[in-house]
Amino acid sequence: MIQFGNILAFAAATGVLLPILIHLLSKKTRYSVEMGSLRFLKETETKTLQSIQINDLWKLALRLLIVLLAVLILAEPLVKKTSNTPTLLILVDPAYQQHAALDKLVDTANNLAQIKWMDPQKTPITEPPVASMAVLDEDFWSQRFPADCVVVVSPVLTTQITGKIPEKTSINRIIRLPNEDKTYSLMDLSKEGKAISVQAETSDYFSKVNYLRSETGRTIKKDYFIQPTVPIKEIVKASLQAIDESSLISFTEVNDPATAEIIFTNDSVYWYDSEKFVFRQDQITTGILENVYDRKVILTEDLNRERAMEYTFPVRLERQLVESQAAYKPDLRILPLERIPDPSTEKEEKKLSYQEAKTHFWWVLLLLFTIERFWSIKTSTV
Amino acid sequence: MAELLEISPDILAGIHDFDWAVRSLAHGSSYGRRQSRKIGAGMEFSQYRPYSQGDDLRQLDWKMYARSDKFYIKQSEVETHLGVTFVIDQSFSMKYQEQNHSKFFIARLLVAVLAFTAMQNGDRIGLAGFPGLPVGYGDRHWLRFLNHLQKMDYRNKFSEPVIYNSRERELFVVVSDMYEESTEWRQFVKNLNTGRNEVILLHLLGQKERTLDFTGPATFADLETGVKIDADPEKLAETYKEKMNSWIEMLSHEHRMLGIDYHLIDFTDKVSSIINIFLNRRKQLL
Repeated sequence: MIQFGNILAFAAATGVLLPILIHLLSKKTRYSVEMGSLRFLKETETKTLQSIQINDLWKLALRLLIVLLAVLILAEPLVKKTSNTPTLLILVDPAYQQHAALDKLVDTANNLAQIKWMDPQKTPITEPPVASMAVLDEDFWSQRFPADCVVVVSPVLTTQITGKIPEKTSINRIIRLPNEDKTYSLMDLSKEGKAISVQAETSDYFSKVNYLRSETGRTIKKDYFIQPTVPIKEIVKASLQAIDESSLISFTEVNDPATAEIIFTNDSVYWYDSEKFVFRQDQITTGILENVYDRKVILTEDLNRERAMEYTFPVRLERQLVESQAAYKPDLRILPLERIPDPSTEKEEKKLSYQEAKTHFWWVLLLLFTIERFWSIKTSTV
Repeated sequence: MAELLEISPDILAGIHDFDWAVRSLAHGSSYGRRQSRKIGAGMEFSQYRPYSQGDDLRQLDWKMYARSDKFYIKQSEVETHLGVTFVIDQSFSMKYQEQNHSKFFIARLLVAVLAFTAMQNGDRIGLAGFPGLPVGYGDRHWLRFLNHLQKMDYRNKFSEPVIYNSRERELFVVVSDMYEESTEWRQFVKNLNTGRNEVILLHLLGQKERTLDFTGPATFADLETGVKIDADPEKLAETYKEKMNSWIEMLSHEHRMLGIDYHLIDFTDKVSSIINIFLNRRKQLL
């Protein structure tokens, strides 16, 4: 892609009138000869006349090209450097359609990358996405959205999506917009017919899953803090079963009991060792439980190791980019594209990313000019 | 006929009077009056021949009889009046100019010179065309002829010139560029060429017209149809010349096969050579 350092130079494009004028004038300068009969001229003329006209048109086109090239040179063309220039594609989950922070993201990303709704229709972000998003295979995504780097902006559908991003893309990242007072449906759960909404978010230290369920006019809200690598679906599934049995459960897990102490405020505490896939209630440290041990800790019978293993599948959640809606400022610097221009150093960045293409254009111009001169002299008969 | 008054061609430099110009050219060509080959009763003695039965007794030379005691018939050259009708192509194509002279002007000048020469040789001259003039003789007829010649103008399309019937042998002199839509001119000339009549076809073409000797891109306009063509003559000259020459060759061959005296006349040809052609041909007729 070419950028220009001196846009004003395009005003010189009016110079294209010059060859057009020459073309028209050269037509006028033909003198007139009255002949008794054009019979023999017609017999010999047909092809030559056409060739003269075509020749003139080609000459005109060549001259126009020369003028335009000269204008381009004046406009200081800059060609993007071929190195370190991966193409970036940002796919946004349609679930974020009404998200207030989306506009900020789009504004920031628009100049850097293609940004589209992550749906099979390849819908531009300027239009509403299609109503439903099918889970498609890897081939589909790779053919549909070829890019060096794909960034997925999605709340919770990461499980399904990450596996579908073509492997050839250099880095795939999943970012999430700041949490709103809003829930996002997990497709799997919806399929099971549960009238439940599940919200998930992750941090360096934990993943948090909370769900809302409206049942008989009463909203139950529960939070689960789990290790980032733990299958969310598994935990949620287990929790849902507990809810079905009208037992309240708050399921939390942390890597470090010390952090759990800070974050944990719920009624019940249960410790989950993701590495061993063992629910170890007995290992809950005293430090943590001092404050909460007197509260009820209820664990359903269904939530056991075997059940958890049954729903295990690879989950890869990336870091949460933003802390809150108010403070949200999309910083796409962390994306694989390293050269994201900073408004303050935009000019510098431009210089780094682009190189002057003037020299190449000069050579082409010289070549075209030589051809034009040679042609004109050869075909000149006046 | 302003054209006639304005001209100053090489051959007519400074001459403004058409009649005078024609006379100068004709006299300058140093051709004398014709000699008739026909022998019969007349004023000028030719020969004696012995009387044979059936001869008119009035033609007996009695003086010869007195001298030789034999009957001789006195023979003289007979005055013959050949009718020469000139036909000029009046189509728009004759407007074509070279060296500031139109083909039409040159054609009329040629006809005038030839007509004058013919008259000097005792022939009767006439004009076929618009306006036409039956063959005639004498100074007054000559002036009428010139008047008609000067009144001649271009006509849009080919219309067969009116030929006044004559009982005598006639010589037709056709001056044309032979540009035709189909074969109208060739047919017309062919029709003139009967067993009794003779035809001289003077095919008038310009030097540049024959060779397309023009430089630089030009717009060529057809004088008859108005069609215009942009062309570079230098590129086309060779092919053009080939086609033109083969056409001329075809016309020449076709007319010679019919016994028509075809001559390609150039603007730059000397008038004397054209008069020569004319006189040679008429000699054969007499």
